[in-house]
Order: sequence, then structure tokens, then C-alpha cells
Amino acid sequence: MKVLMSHVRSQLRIGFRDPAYMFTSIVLPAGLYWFFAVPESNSAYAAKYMTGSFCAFAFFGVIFLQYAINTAHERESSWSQYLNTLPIPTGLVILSRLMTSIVLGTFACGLIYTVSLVFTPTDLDFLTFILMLLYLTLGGLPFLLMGLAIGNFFSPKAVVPVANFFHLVLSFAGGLWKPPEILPEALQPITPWLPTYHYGLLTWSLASKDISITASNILYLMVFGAAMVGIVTFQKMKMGR
Amino acid sequence: MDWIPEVTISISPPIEFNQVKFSYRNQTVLDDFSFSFEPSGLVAMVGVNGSGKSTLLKLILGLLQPQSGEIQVLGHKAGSFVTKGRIGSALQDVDFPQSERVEEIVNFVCSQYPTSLPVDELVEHFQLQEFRKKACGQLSGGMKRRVALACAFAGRPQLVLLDEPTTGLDQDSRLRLMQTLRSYQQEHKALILLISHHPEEIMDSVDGFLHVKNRQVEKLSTATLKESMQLRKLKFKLQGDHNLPEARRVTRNQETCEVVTENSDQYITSLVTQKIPFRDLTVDKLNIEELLGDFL
Repeated sequence: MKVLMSHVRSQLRIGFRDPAYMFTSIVLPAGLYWFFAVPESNSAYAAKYMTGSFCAFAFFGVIFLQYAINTAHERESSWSQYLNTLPIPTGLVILSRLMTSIVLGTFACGLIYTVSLVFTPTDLDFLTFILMLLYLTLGGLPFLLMGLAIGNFFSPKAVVPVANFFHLVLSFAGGLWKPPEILPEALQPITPWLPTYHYGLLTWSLASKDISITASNILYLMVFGAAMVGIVTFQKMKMGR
Repeated sequence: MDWIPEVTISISPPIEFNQVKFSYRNQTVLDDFSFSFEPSGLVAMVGVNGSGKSTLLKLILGLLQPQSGEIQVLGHKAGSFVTKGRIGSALQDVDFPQSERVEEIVNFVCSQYPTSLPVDELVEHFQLQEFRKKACGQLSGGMKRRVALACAFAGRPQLVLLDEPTTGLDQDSRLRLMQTLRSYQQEHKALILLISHHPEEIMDSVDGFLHVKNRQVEKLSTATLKESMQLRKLKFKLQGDHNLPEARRVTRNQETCEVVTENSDQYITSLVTQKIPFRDLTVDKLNIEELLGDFL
């Protein structure tokens, strides 16, 4: 536990001291929410729906995008080589990364929630918001692994555009910026096949009783997660050789 | 009290290479290499550039895997979790996270071990006081090396591996560092293995040397090293056919002659008595690369 917390503390310190990182992962999603979603939020339902969407977008950014970039940059650094000589249990780094993402994701979503309370007719209560964070954390696990997989695969230079591409395209096409019903028609048949759609659905289910999480949503995310575990394990085996 | 079984503490070697083969893509570094290290002491590893010293350290740390054979470190496989907990290391040029402060880094490394040395003690031993609050991105190369050294001792290691810890240090800091290493080594009965490119600077502080050469490791005593440092290189020009007196090494390339000998005065005397018409004579010490490569 002491070891785990030392990693989380260190990652959080590094994150909070980096203004660019803070801006892109916490301020920017809330800014985008304010700019794009607040004007559309003309009912309590719409407000809650869009809050959920943008929280999923923000959490996705923290748990996937930043992790992918960090992984690629740290992979060949002498610091990460040094870390490999320390007695750190396998899996602890991923776990610490998850906890760091929860903290940063809570900040990012908290800011979006605050904006929604001030500027929209939302009636999302605090407990439901906490439940949403829980959903985003559990549903975010496959994306954490996806970040690791992409970080392992791409060079430090390539990872920034590649990870951003995945982040933006999957967010948009999965319906996290605009609801799936108003996406371009060409895109609509693809949307239900994207992991971000199922991720968003976890939050939309909290906005209305008409939307509910089905077994197929959970199964999709689990299969997607299992595929990511497979890829990461394969990469690890290859790197070990 | 015959019934008490006799307790024998077997001191197995802390590092054991068993028929290890390791090569980079197109260069073999070790081939069928077997070696075991002394149980404790302060030992310097020397060898010409590219002889594989750093590779050996990385193999012991488990950062590199041998293609065949096995490496046992402190009774376990190199790179295993148990082993990692009992080794400390400082390889070359660690890039610490830029925004982390020195004491945060040391504290972080200490947290990885169940029984670490107190941060303040490490700060004191490696003179980090003046910059303990500084961010790592603002440190000079020398400061970073001191932080890396402090980290190497954080977990009270039984085995310490240091890659060129004395490079760039002035004489006073070097002596102080060697004293710190020695007192730790004696207190913990540890083995400290360090790579040095200037064995002459630390000769009097270490117990002995390991010489990495031609894919093998040989023990080299300080006395042998000191003796070899008496060798001198004579260079002179010479025209015509002459039989030069014998020496450790005599080479001639047209006019230019080069002689390596233990006793340069005697050699020059014999050149004179044999009436060999040399000119432009210079006498130099051998540099350490030449010594290690050709005469040790």
C-alpha cells in the first residue's frame, strides 16, 4: 500500500505541476462542454445527458490519452529503466495509474458538473454524479489498457497525434460530443460498434429512465477489455525477449 | 551440548555467471562465460571502451537477458523480485522526472523498499542538503549523479552496482565518496561493484579490480596495476638498420620506433652504449586504455 501510494502521489505531483497537462485534461473538457453542450442543454434531461457525455469524454482523455503519451515517452527513458531495477510488483504501476486517473478524472468531471449546475437546468444530484464517476472508472478499465497498448506500440513522436486521433474520432463517432441520433447518417451505423458508445451509454442511463444499461453493453466492454489484455500481454511477451 | 546442530553459514557468492552467452545483434559480448564474485568488498571493474562492463551490470540487474546460461544473484535468478529488493544501482545519466524535487525522488525510491535508510541520512551522506528542494530539471550533471548514488543505497542493499560513480568529481569529492562507499560496505558486509575509467584515481580505495577483456573477466590486484603503471613508452626516430634492445614491446614503422619498457632509463642507456643514432626521443606514461588493452 505504501508503495502504491508513493506511485500515485508522484504521478499526481508530476501532473499537477504541468500546466499544459492540467489544461488539456481538466480545463479543456469543461471549456468544450461550456462551449458546445451548454447551449444545447435546454431541458433537465438534455443537460444531464450532455453532462454525462462530456464527463465520459473527459474521463476517456485522462484514462487513455495521457496514459498512452506517458507510456511512449517513458518507455525508453533511463528513469523507467531505473524503475525496472526497483522491487515494484507487477501490475502495481497500472493500478497506480488507474488511481491517478480516478483522481484527475474526478477533477475534470467535477468541473464539468459545476459548470452544468451553474449554466444549465440540470437536476443531476450529487450522489448520481458519484455513481457516474464509478461507472466511468469501471467502464474505463479497457481504455486504460488501450492507452498502454498504444503507448507501447508507437514512438514518442508518433504517439501524440495517434492517441489524439483515437481520442477525438472515437469520442465524436461514439456519440460523446453529439448524441448518436444527430451524428452524420454515414456514421450512425458504425456508432453502436464503438467502445466509446457503450462507455457513454453508462452515463446516459443515469440521465433518463428510458435508457438502461443492457447485458450486451457490459459484454461489449468486457470483450473489448479482454482484447486489450490480450494485446498488452502479447506486447509484454515480445518485449521480454 | 552436543545435541545442538552445528550451524554453518555458507557464504555463497553474491553473483554467479554460469555458461552465459550474451550478444547484441552483431556483437558477442559473453560466450560460455562462467564467473563468481567475492562475497563482499569494494571492487572496481575496468576494461577498455566497449569491453562489456556496462553490459555485465545490466545482466546482473536483469535489465538484459542472456541468450543462454544462467545468472544467479544473491541466491536467486537475476532480475527476480527478491533480488531487486536487495540490490541498489546507479547506472549512467538517470533522467529523473523534471518537476520532481530531489527529496521527493529520494523519498519515492525509499518507499519502494520494506526497510529503507532514512531520507535524511541519505541526504547527508551524499551531500544533497543545498539542493534537496530543487526540481530535478534544474540540476547539474554532478548533482544528478549524487542523487542517483543516494537512490542506489536507499534500500540498504547487500549488493551495489555503480556505473562510473567518480567521473567528473574533483579529488576531494572523489575521496569523500570512496570513504562513504567503504564505510557502507564494512557496516553492511556488502559487495560494491563499480565501473571505473580511471583506476589510477581509486587504486588506494578499493580492494581490487576485475578486468573485463576478450569476453572474460580476470581478477587484477592493485599491486599488479601499480606495477604496470611503471611502464613507459619511448618514441624516437631512427635511420638505417639497427638491432634494437629487447623490451616489453618494440615496434618500428619505417623511421618511427616505439618501445614500451619497465625501465626507460636503462633502455636509453643501452641505446647510447650500442651507439644507435636515435633522435627526437620522447618518454611518456601509457594511458589507461593502452595499459588495459595491451599490457594487462
